[in-house]
Amino acid sequence: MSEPVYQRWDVSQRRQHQFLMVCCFVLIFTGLPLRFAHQRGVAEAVGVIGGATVAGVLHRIAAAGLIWSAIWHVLYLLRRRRRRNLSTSMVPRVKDLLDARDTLVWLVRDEAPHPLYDRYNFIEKFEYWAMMWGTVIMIITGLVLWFPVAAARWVDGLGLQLAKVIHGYEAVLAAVSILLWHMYHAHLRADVFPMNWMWLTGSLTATEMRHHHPLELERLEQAAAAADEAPPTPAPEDTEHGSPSPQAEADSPTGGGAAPAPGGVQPPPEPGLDAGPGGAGGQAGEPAGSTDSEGGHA
Amino acid sequence: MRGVVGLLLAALCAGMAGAAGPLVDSNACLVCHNNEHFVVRLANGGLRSLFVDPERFYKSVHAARGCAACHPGVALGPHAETKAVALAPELQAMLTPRSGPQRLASAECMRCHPDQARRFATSVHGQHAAAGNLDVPLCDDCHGHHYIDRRDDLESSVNPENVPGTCAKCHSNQLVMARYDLNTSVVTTYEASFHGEKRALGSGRAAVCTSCHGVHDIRAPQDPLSSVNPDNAPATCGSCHDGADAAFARSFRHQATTPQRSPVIFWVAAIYKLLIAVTVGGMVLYMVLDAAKRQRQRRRGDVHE
Repeated sequence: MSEPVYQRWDVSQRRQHQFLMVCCFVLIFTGLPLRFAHQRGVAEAVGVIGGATVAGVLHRIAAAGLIWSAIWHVLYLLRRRRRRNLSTSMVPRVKDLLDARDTLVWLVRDEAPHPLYDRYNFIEKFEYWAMMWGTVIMIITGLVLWFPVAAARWVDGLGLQLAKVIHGYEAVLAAVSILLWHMYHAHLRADVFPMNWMWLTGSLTATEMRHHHPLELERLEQAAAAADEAPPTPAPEDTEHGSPSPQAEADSPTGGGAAPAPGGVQPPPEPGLDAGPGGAGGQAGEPAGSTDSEGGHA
Repeated sequence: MRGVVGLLLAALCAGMAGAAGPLVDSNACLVCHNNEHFVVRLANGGLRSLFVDPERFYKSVHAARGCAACHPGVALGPHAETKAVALAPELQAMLTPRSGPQRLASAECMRCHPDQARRFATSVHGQHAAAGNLDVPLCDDCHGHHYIDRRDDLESSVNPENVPGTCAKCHSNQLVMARYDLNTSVVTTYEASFHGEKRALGSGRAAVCTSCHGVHDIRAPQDPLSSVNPDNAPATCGSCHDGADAAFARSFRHQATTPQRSPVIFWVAAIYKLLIAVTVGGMVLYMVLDAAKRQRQRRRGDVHE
């Protein structure tokens, strides 16, 4: 019960996920009915939330939210780059292709070993980049449809037609990806059920780390061992991801009645970090010795 | 004696047809015409139903005017032949090629609604009607006759909700449209458009056929006076979309998504369909394999921790 937890997502990352989730659900449930408006029962279902006009207004509000979340994420990445702790853990590598191959082999062959994943596995990277791509497409085509008269001056009539077609198909692709793929890997999978709590707690237990991200765990443990021997680095108040410094690990089990995993030990409050990109957020974060998982480790 | 009875009968009919209250009048007619099996054989051997549904008739906009308003020649018993009313020449021209009840009925409409009739005479439908074309609609083809409801009544054939279906009666008919080389996908492409989808979802504001094409004054798109002529389309779009220009107006086309007519749209849609099929198929396959693998592991007690 009192095993150490590893803080992997800072408050901003969790807020981004939570906010994005709300936006996506509103967008899906107010947008897809329009695409399937002629199917039986769809108009009645939309009537429940107040009809087509209300759905349109909600869709635009959530769309503004999605645009904000995209800006927020870019500002977040820029801020981390400014502080020199921008992680490259989401960048696709050759290992992801090999992992994908090995995972497929593992799926069909009983004796095959499961590949060892790093901080983000190929499934998570695929989702992240699909989300990036999809968000850009949806925002561009969505703005064209939102302001068609103004957009027509730039993209002409054909551009408006294309925007509608692309927005509709990309919406189906995104909705399926979220409702099937993400729900499976974050909820339904036997080794995750009922939920991967990362998006709320930001942390995983050592057991979960060993199971889902063994290479990351190994690196963190090596770093912790090295830190034990070396003179202490600046205090690891850093809660940007991957901060299970010796203290964090040591603190966790005794952390003043903190809840056990997977509820996880909440990190110390991080004033401002959750205030979004522009916030005063970040003074609390990232000292020079930030332990973001990849940085510099092989 | 005979003369007296005849006189009385004539007086009764005259009273029912004209002076008496409209409900009495219609009720008298409906004594016979409310029978849904009231059918007569025509000279050409066909059958015609003379049934009028009282419930629907009394709900119609013309109920208060009574039967005789449009059937001025009625008398009890087998009715005297109705003579068409005299109309302005441009209106008469549209009716002359027609025969039978439709000619009489439309004449009666035009007698009370001359403004609409004159606008209709300038339309592509009216012009062809005057040229002897029997395919183009007259009044009753869109409005009906005994059961003309208010336009805001959801059962009305010209309620905006029902306009696409009313137009589709002819414009989705391959046989009729082929005679004029007209596009039969105008209604289906409308339904697939943003306007059509928004309508289907329950929006009362989204445009229907008549919003852009006009009502009685519908003209062919090539006609310089047509509301959907490329020169006039921006203004037509602008009645809802402030500031609409020609580029915006080009965004609405009634072309079906075929590789010949809309190649860019067609191929983008095709690529997306393939992408979605491959993605969903791959995801489902992966999930099934993954779930099965974990089930096998659990059965062996070999849970990967």
